[in-house]
Amino acid sequence: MKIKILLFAQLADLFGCAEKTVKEISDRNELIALLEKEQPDLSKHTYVVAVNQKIMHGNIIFKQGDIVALLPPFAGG
Amino acid sequence: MKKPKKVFVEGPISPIFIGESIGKHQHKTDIGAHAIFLGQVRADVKDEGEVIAIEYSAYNDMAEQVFHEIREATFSAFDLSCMHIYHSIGEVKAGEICLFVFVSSKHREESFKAQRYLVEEIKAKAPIFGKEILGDGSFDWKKNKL
Repeated sequence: MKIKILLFAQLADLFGCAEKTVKEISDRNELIALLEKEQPDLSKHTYVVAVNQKIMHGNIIFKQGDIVALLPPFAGG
Repeated sequence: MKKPKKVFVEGPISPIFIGESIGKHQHKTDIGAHAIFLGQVRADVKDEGEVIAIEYSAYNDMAEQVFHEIREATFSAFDLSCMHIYHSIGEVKAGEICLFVFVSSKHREESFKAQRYLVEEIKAKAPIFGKEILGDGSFDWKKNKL
Protein backbone atom coordinates (compact mmCIF):
# COMPACT_ATOMS: atom_id res chain seq x y z
CA MET A 1 0.00 0.00 0.00
CA LYS A 2 1.02 3.59 -0.55
CA ILE A 3 2.21 5.52 2.52
CA LYS A 4 3.04 9.24 2.71
CA ILE A 5 6.21 10.02 4.68
CA LEU A 6 6.92 13.44 6.16
CA LEU A 7 10.51 14.40 7.03
CA PHE A 8 11.62 17.30 9.22
CA ALA A 9 14.74 19.24 10.14
CA GLN A 10 17.95 17.19 9.89
CA LEU A 11 16.06 14.25 8.35
CA ALA A 12 14.67 16.44 5.57
CA ASP A 13 18.27 17.62 5.02
CA LEU A 14 19.48 13.99 4.88
CA PHE A 15 16.92 12.89 2.29
CA GLY A 16 16.87 16.21 0.43
CA CYS A 17 13.08 16.48 0.68
CA ALA A 18 10.26 17.06 3.17
CA GLU A 19 7.90 14.47 1.73
CA LYS A 20 8.10 11.02 0.11
CA THR A 21 5.63 8.38 -0.96
CA VAL A 22 6.54 4.74 -0.56
CA LYS A 23 4.75 1.74 -1.99
CA GLU A 24 4.33 -1.81 -0.80
CA ILE A 25 5.36 -1.08 2.75
CA SER A 26 3.20 -2.72 5.39
CA ASP A 27 4.83 -1.75 8.68
CA ARG A 28 7.33 0.49 10.46
CA ASN A 29 10.19 -2.04 10.40
CA GLU A 30 9.90 -2.41 6.63
CA LEU A 31 9.74 1.36 6.22
CA ILE A 32 12.88 2.02 8.28
CA ALA A 33 14.76 -0.74 6.45
CA LEU A 34 13.80 0.84 3.13
CA LEU A 35 14.76 4.35 4.24
CA GLU A 36 18.10 3.14 5.68
CA LYS A 37 18.85 1.42 2.39
CA GLU A 38 18.40 4.79 0.67
CA GLN A 39 20.28 6.77 3.33
CA PRO A 40 22.40 4.54 5.63
CA ASP A 41 23.16 7.56 7.86
CA LEU A 42 19.55 7.46 9.04
CA SER A 43 20.63 4.82 11.56
CA LYS A 44 22.89 7.43 13.24
CA HIS A 45 19.97 9.80 13.86
CA THR A 46 17.60 9.96 16.84
CA TYR A 47 13.93 10.32 15.92
CA VAL A 48 10.43 9.19 16.85
CA VAL A 49 7.75 7.99 14.45
CA ALA A 50 4.30 9.60 14.37
CA VAL A 51 1.43 7.97 12.51
CA ASN A 52 -1.44 10.34 11.71
CA GLN A 53 0.03 12.87 14.18
CA LYS A 54 0.31 10.41 17.10
CA ILE A 55 3.74 9.27 18.30
CA MET A 56 3.94 5.49 18.31
CA HIS A 57 6.61 3.11 19.51
CA GLY A 58 7.50 -0.42 18.46
CA ASN A 59 6.47 -1.94 15.19
CA ILE A 60 3.33 -0.43 13.67
CA ILE A 61 1.14 -1.99 10.99
CA PHE A 62 0.18 0.71 8.50
CA LYS A 63 -3.22 1.23 6.87
CA GLN A 64 -3.91 2.68 3.43
CA GLY A 65 -3.77 6.47 3.65
CA ASP A 66 -1.64 6.65 6.82
CA ILE A 67 0.67 9.66 7.08
CA VAL A 68 3.93 8.74 8.78
CA ALA A 69 6.28 11.41 10.10
CA LEU A 70 9.87 10.96 11.25
CA LEU A 71 10.43 13.52 13.98
CA PRO A 72 13.96 14.47 15.18
CA PRO A 73 14.41 15.82 18.74
CA PHE A 74 12.11 18.74 19.52
CA ALA A 75 13.45 22.25 20.08
CA GLY A 76 10.41 24.36 20.95
CA GLY A 77 10.60 27.13 23.50
CA MET B 1 -15.17 20.09 19.83
CA LYS B 2 -13.32 23.35 20.56
CA LYS B 3 -11.43 24.83 17.63
CA PRO B 4 -7.65 24.88 18.28
CA LYS B 5 -6.31 28.38 18.98
CA LYS B 6 -3.67 29.95 16.74
CA VAL B 7 -0.24 29.54 18.37
CA PHE B 8 2.37 30.21 15.68
CA VAL B 9 3.62 33.75 15.02
CA GLU B 10 5.86 34.57 12.07
CA GLY B 11 9.25 35.78 13.36
CA PRO B 12 10.00 37.05 16.87
CA ILE B 13 7.28 37.89 19.39
CA SER B 14 7.49 41.61 20.04
CA PRO B 15 7.62 43.21 23.49
CA ILE B 16 4.82 45.52 22.32
CA PHE B 17 2.57 42.52 21.60
CA ILE B 18 3.37 41.12 25.07
CA GLY B 19 2.51 44.44 26.74
CA GLU B 20 -0.71 44.76 24.73
CA SER B 21 -1.70 41.21 25.72
CA ILE B 22 -1.36 42.17 29.38
CA GLY B 23 -3.41 45.32 28.75
CA LYS B 24 -6.25 43.29 27.20
CA HIS B 25 -6.83 41.61 30.56
CA GLN B 26 -7.39 44.78 32.56
CA HIS B 27 -11.18 44.52 32.31
CA LYS B 28 -11.09 40.95 33.73
CA THR B 29 -11.25 42.07 37.34
CA ASP B 30 -11.75 38.56 38.76
CA ILE B 31 -8.05 37.90 37.94
CA GLY B 32 -5.57 38.44 40.79
CA ALA B 33 -2.43 36.98 39.25
CA HIS B 34 -0.71 36.59 35.90
CA ALA B 35 2.35 34.38 35.35
CA ILE B 36 4.27 35.08 32.18
CA PHE B 37 7.12 33.02 30.72
CA LEU B 38 9.20 34.34 27.85
CA GLY B 39 11.61 32.09 25.97
CA GLN B 40 14.44 34.10 24.41
CA VAL B 41 16.98 32.94 21.86
CA ARG B 42 20.31 32.66 23.63
CA ALA B 43 23.67 33.24 21.94
CA ASP B 44 25.08 29.83 22.84
CA VAL B 45 28.76 29.36 22.08
CA LYS B 46 29.45 26.28 19.97
CA ASP B 47 32.73 24.93 18.56
CA GLU B 48 32.06 26.60 15.20
CA GLY B 49 30.94 29.92 16.68
CA GLU B 50 28.13 31.74 18.41
CA VAL B 51 24.41 31.22 17.75
CA ILE B 52 23.17 34.40 16.06
CA ALA B 53 19.62 33.18 15.33
CA ILE B 54 17.35 30.16 15.41
CA GLU B 55 15.13 29.29 12.46
CA TYR B 56 12.04 27.51 13.79
CA SER B 57 9.97 25.06 11.76
CA ALA B 58 7.24 22.66 12.81
CA TYR B 59 5.01 19.76 11.88
CA ASN B 60 2.20 22.31 11.82
CA ASP B 61 -0.89 20.11 11.87
CA MET B 62 0.42 17.93 14.66
CA ALA B 63 1.74 20.92 16.63
CA GLU B 64 -1.68 22.62 16.58
CA GLN B 65 -3.29 19.45 17.89
CA VAL B 66 -0.58 19.00 20.56
CA PHE B 67 -0.98 22.62 21.73
CA HIS B 68 -4.75 22.11 21.89
CA GLU B 69 -4.31 18.98 24.03
CA ILE B 70 -1.81 20.74 26.30
CA ARG B 71 -4.22 23.66 26.74
CA GLU B 72 -7.12 21.37 27.61
CA ALA B 73 -4.98 19.35 30.07
CA THR B 74 -3.78 22.56 31.74
CA PHE B 75 -7.31 23.93 32.13
CA SER B 76 -8.35 20.59 33.65
CA ALA B 77 -5.44 20.48 36.08
CA PHE B 78 -5.40 24.11 37.23
CA ASP B 79 -8.11 26.63 38.11
CA LEU B 80 -7.24 29.28 35.51
CA SER B 81 -9.14 32.26 34.22
CA CYS B 82 -7.15 32.57 31.03
CA MET B 83 -4.28 31.04 29.05
CA HIS B 84 -2.36 32.19 25.98
CA ILE B 85 0.46 30.42 24.18
CA TYR B 86 2.45 31.89 21.28
CA HIS B 87 5.50 30.37 19.56
CA SER B 88 7.60 31.79 16.76
CA ILE B 89 8.03 30.23 13.33
CA GLY B 90 10.82 31.35 11.04
CA GLU B 91 13.91 33.27 12.08
CA VAL B 92 14.35 34.68 15.58
CA LYS B 93 17.62 36.44 16.34
CA ALA B 94 19.58 36.03 19.58
CA GLY B 95 17.98 38.29 22.18
CA GLU B 96 14.52 38.09 20.61
CA ILE B 97 11.51 36.29 22.08
CA CYS B 98 10.40 32.94 20.60
CA LEU B 99 7.92 31.70 23.22
CA PHE B 100 5.25 33.61 25.17
CA VAL B 101 3.22 31.72 27.76
CA PHE B 102 0.68 33.77 29.72
CA VAL B 103 -1.63 32.30 32.36
CA SER B 104 -4.03 34.10 34.70
CA SER B 105 -5.92 33.03 37.79
CA LYS B 106 -7.76 34.39 40.79
CA HIS B 107 -4.82 33.64 43.12
CA ARG B 108 -1.10 33.31 42.41
CA GLU B 109 -0.63 29.64 43.37
CA GLU B 110 -2.47 28.34 40.29
CA SER B 111 -0.66 30.65 37.90
CA PHE B 112 2.79 29.74 39.26
CA LYS B 113 2.09 26.02 38.90
CA ALA B 114 0.29 26.16 35.54
CA GLN B 115 3.02 28.29 33.95
CA ARG B 116 5.73 25.74 34.87
CA TYR B 117 3.58 22.82 33.75
CA LEU B 118 2.80 24.49 30.41
CA VAL B 119 6.39 25.37 29.57
CA GLU B 120 7.66 21.86 30.36
CA GLU B 121 4.86 20.25 28.32
CA ILE B 122 5.56 22.48 25.32
CA LYS B 123 9.28 21.75 25.41
CA ALA B 124 8.69 18.01 25.67
CA LYS B 125 5.78 17.47 23.29
CA ALA B 126 5.47 20.19 20.64
CA PRO B 127 6.91 18.99 17.28
CA ILE B 128 8.91 22.19 16.71
CA PHE B 129 12.45 22.14 15.30
CA GLY B 130 15.21 24.73 15.63
CA LYS B 131 18.04 25.32 13.20
CA GLU B 132 20.75 27.23 15.08
CA ILE B 133 22.42 29.66 12.68
CA LEU B 134 26.03 30.32 13.67
CA GLY B 135 28.19 33.39 13.11
CA ASP B 136 30.29 31.71 10.43
CA GLY B 137 27.20 30.87 8.38
CA SER B 138 27.09 27.20 9.36
CA PHE B 139 24.21 25.68 11.32
CA ASP B 140 23.40 23.04 13.91
CA TRP B 141 20.09 21.47 14.97
CA LYS B 142 18.91 22.37 18.48
CA LYS B 143 17.80 19.67 20.90
CA ASN B 144 15.84 20.54 24.05
CA LYS B 145 17.22 19.46 27.41
CA LEU B 146 14.31 17.92 29.31
